[in-house]
Amino acid sequence: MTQLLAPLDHAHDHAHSEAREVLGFVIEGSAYGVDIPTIAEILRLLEVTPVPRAPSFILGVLSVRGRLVTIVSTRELLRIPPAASLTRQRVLLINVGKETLGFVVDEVLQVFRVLREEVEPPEVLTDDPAPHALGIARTGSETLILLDLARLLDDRW
Amino acid sequence: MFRLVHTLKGLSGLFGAAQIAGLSHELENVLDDLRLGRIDLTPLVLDCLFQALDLYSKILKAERDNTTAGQTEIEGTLLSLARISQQNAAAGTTLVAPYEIEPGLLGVLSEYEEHRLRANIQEGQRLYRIFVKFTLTSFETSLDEFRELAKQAGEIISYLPTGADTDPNTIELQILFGSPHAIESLGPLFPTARVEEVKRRKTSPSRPAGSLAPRRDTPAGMAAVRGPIMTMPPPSELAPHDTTRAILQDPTVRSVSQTVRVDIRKLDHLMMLVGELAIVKTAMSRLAERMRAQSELRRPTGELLRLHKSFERHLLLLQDAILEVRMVPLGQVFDKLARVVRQFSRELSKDVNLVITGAETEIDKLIVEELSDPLMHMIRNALDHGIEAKEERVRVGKPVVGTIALNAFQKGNHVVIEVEDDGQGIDADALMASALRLGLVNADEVRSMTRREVLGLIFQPGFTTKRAATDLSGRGVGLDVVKNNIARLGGVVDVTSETGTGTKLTITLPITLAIINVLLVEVGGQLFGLPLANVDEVLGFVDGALRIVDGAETISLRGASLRVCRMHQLLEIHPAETLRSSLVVITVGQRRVGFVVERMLGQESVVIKSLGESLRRVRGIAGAAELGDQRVVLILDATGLVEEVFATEKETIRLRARSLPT
Repeated sequence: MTQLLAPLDHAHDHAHSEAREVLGFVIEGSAYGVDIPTIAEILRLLEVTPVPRAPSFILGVLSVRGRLVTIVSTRELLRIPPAASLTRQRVLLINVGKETLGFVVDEVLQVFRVLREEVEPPEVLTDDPAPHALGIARTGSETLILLDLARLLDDRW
Repeated sequence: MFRLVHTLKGLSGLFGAAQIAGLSHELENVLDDLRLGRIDLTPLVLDCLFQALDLYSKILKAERDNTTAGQTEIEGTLLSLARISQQNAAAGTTLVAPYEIEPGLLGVLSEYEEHRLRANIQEGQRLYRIFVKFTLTSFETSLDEFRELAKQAGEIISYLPTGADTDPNTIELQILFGSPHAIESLGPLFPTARVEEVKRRKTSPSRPAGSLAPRRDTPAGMAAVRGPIMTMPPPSELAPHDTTRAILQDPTVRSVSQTVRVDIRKLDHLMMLVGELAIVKTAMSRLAERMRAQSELRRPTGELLRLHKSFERHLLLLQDAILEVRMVPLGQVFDKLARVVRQFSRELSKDVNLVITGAETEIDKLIVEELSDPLMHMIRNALDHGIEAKEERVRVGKPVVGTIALNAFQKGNHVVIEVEDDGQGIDADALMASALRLGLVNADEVRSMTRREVLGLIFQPGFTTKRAATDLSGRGVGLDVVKNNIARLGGVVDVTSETGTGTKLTITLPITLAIINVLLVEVGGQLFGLPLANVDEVLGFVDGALRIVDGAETISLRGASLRVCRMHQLLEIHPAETLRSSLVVITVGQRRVGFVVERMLGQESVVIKSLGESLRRVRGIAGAAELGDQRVVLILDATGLVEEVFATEKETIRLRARSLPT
């Protein structure tokens, strides 16, 4: 069920100690990144059991090897309208507070090694960035918006 | 059960049903041995009993079909049953054999005496022969006195006249006596008697040669009889007598090794594994169903189904066994409460007696832990608000010392705990006035409220009647917390009260949390489970039967009105097309609701798991469980849903607001 992470981008290996590993993913055509150490597991999106009366960003529950995981829509949390017929969706399992949540994304790209100097603070885009925006990473050909997925839920409870 | 089998044997003999009579005879022997404690209920014996049970129906079927099919199996089971009783006979001798007891004496012991003898040996007691003379004229009273005396030191296993006495005015008895005490201390206790210890034979005849052979081949023979379906029991069960010997040799080791402390998480893990097995089981039966459709697979399918059945039965036993391990007596938490009562009664300078009954009632360990706080709160409440001050009690003519009763008892699959005080009771008018003042209800609502509903106000968040909150209770944290805590365990709290005479809070809880039987239903095309413990009955449902009574949809069921609620509306999901919907009747406490669902899909045992923190606040859902095909099904909180249906409009809105804070 677990999809193996794509091989590391070795271009900058050993050159700088202050590199971070970031998983790139896509939502509505835009590329985002989350720090690898925050990710517990990556799953294919299987059939989720919807939970009536739950907040709309909660898609439902899924059993991961006997453990129940609440699945949330990253789209909705980013206030992007739902899309039809996505076939490459993945679930990123991330520990948020006391529980593990599954964040659904449109597509997973690969793991990027991002150097410190390649990251710009979120203030370059907006005066008042949201707490979940960590910055913008320009690495090779890709520009990633770095997110703290756990904080996406901050104002949702 | 023994009697029933006995009757069956008699009847079948009467009608010439030789096979049934034969089976009953052997079964009766085994049951008799069990009844008298001559053999233990080992898994081996249990298997045999079940087999015998199955055999009854097989014999009947064979008779009906007029075939002799299964004849070998019948004989096989008869043989195993017979062997169990024989094995027991051998075991009995083995146990007693090392002692120097005259065979003549053993021969005249009654079955019960023989059993007590063995029990004493097993408990590691020393055996004594006591010779005592009684004068015939005062025989009855002296014997009674002697018995009383003896009871303090041990147990009289049997007494027999020795006949060796030549004096016609006296009678000498030989008493077989089991006692933990050494002979030196028994001598002075019975000054009129002669005490001898029954020695063990020195040449440690651990096993009479004769009994060795049959014992060794018995279990093996039995395993063969049970056929390939069963697995061999572990070696420890195969040689029970070896253990017995070990016990005999060192009684102290036994008492140490009888209990183990186990981390509850290990039990949870076991439970989860059993849950996984249950999933495998369901998948297995599904496979069998699919195979059944193909004619060339009919034979293996039949075998698979039999296997499945046996697997299912053992799994059920395993579940029960694990559940039982999780059970602890409520006394654990009650003891803590007793200390609390002493402390608080001192602080409040109220004299209170705590009367506890049913402390031995058992409930799941997890529930016991969660019960401590709510019960503590309820007791504080009774002490603080219920029991009056000493002067007041004297004034109204009550005993100065108040009473708080803590009663626990089992009621079906539930455990009921009552906290009852003999205090001033709840003043419904004052309660209503406070609720009005606090804005929990409005004047219109008050007029239409029943006494039950009014009393229920004490469970409202933020409710208090006392103007000055004490340190003990009534400071923010109220009975609403108690109610929520209990609800989280799947329980309900009810209150009854008589003004002036006292208040009773009743908690009703399920015995265990982990495995529950659910009724699978479809609502909005989605599968849900309803705890079967809450389901009274299921009926077909047609819209035409509905009647509107006081703004609520009801039907008339056996002359009584039943409140009806459409599940999809309550759960806020779109209904699916259905030809014939069902009505699931659920009772919680004294409230009954019929829930309309689209389809009924049968029942299933599931391991219920709680939803994550993020879904905790969603009301009406108790948890989720995995079905055989890896689907996750939500388990509805029947208790909560019934309460919601009965909640007033205003409450519903408030509850919604709380559950969806976006």
